[in-house]
Amino acid sequence: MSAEEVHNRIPMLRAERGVSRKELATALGVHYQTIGYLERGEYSPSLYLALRIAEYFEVPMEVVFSLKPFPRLGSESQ
Amino acid sequence: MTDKADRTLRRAERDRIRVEKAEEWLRGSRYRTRRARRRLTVVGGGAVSLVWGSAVVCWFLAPSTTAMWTTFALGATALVVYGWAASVLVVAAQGVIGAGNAHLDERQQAERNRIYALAHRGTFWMLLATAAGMTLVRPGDDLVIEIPSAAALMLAVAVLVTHLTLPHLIAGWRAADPVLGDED
Repeated sequence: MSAEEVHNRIPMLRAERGVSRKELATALGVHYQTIGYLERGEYSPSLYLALRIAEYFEVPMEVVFSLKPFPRLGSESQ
Repeated sequence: MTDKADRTLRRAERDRIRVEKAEEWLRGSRYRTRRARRRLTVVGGGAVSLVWGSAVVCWFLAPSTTAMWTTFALGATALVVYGWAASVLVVAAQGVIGAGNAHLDERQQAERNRIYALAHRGTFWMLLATAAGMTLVRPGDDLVIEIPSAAALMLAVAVLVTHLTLPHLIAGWRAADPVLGDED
């Protein structure tokens, strides 16, 4: 794992809101492959793009991005 | 809307359709895998090395018919092979090479900057190697190197071609696998 790896919940948020990669990319003004690379963890966004993603989903930034892996759904209740 | 703005919009729409078609082709082609792209990059690099080969041939054989025809044959082969390889690599790089800066997002611009930085370093080492090579092949301790003008010309062409093609080759080598489909 890279020391600078930034984890994100973009795929989960997209699925929850029913937003396709292309729709999200169009809304953010980026190439749709960039969304794919973000989701695959192959690219860490700039602060500006990260803020715009959080703004798009109307959630605080720490809901979308984290330096630690997000817990799997259901693991917190166990 | 003015004619100029209308033309710009139509051109942008044509570019968008062309890029989408190219990306669709890439997703269905064997060059969607890193291994295939890297193999193609090596083929492209081989085509560029043919130009260096013709410079060496000219160095030792020019002026002669052999040197002339060898240069034409190697040059034509390099042009055809590299033309094909470069067109695939530019598509595989997904706009990082070839598209205008205004069309790139932050990831693509950062990748382009890295590619040009690496190409710049590569050009530096190529110039250093060329200077070292010329120093090594000079006869005795002579300070003056006499070479056929055709060899000097082909050396200049080889340096220029390498300088121009290095970003394509580096982009092809580094290109990440495309994300297949929209929701996969």
